[in-house]
Amino acid sequence: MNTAMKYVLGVIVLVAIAGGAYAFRKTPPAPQEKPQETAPVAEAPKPAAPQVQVPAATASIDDLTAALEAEGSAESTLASSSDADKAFVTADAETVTSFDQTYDESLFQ
Amino acid sequence: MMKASSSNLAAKAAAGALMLGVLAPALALAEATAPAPTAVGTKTFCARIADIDAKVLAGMGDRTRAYEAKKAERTEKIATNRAERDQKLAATRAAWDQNRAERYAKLDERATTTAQKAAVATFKNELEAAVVARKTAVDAALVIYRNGLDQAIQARKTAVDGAQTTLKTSVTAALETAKTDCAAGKDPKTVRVTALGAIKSARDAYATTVKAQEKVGTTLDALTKARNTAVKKAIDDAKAARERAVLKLKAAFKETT
Repeated sequence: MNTAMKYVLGVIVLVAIAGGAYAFRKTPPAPQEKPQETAPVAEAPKPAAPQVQVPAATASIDDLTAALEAEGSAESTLASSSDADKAFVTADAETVTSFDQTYDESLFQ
Repeated sequence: MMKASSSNLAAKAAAGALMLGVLAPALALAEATAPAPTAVGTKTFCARIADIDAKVLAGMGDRTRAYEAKKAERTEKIATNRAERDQKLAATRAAWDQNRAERYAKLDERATTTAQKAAVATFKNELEAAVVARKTAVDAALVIYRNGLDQAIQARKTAVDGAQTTLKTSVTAALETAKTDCAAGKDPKTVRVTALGAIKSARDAYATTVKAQEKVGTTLDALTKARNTAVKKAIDDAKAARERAVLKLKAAFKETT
């Protein structure tokens, strides 16, 4: 390889390096994930589970008997709470009884 | 003299004509603006029948919507309340189940002999069977009560809906008859009395049907009584089983009641 060829080869290498560097600078950075502009949707609060009070467990048979009595009583009370639904049966009473007031008497005078 | 008198007469005639010309429009206006004989009265019933018809139909429409809204509200509230009660019952049972499990464990720790450990195991089995039986019986009682309540609501709905349809049909028919009679030139007074009579009959029939629905209270009382009886039996049965199991357990631990 003569000297001229070395110069040409050197120039080509330099041009290639310069081109590569230029291309690298022009390459846009990888898009970064933008933070969400909208506020994250808050999760709807779940209805809290009812708190149930029970006596502390012991190894006493009498305590156990008393606890079982309370358990039965709690069950009975909860069963009776469905009485509240009775009021709903006639909850439409006002709209039912007033339904026949479909005209003003004065209209027919 | 004669001439003067003639001239005077002509002047009076001219003045009279002038006054008549001035007053005539005012008199005509006064006549035009005078109130109608009666804005509301039997003579004008036929003239107002279209307006009456529109107002009555609009009123029925409003009341129908109010009734439908109330029914929908009832359905929603009952469903919500039942769901809440079911959740509460499940949470309560879970808490007591956990509590019993802890007690069995403590009793097992307390048992020092094979016989005592066997007694605890038997006690646990018998008690749990009693609890399951109690829960099953209570659940069944609640389902029967709930279904009975739903049936009572449905029966009331069917009766009231039917009565309202009948009332609407009857009132509409009465008004249509009145319109037809008015168009045929019948005496407005007679038309009015006939329409009012028909509507009154329809209203009375509706009121009778609605009044009959008040008996639903008896049905609900019977449902409540049956549920309470079933729940009490379930709890009493569980209590009896528990007492038998406790006696055996105490014997194993040499406790006296």
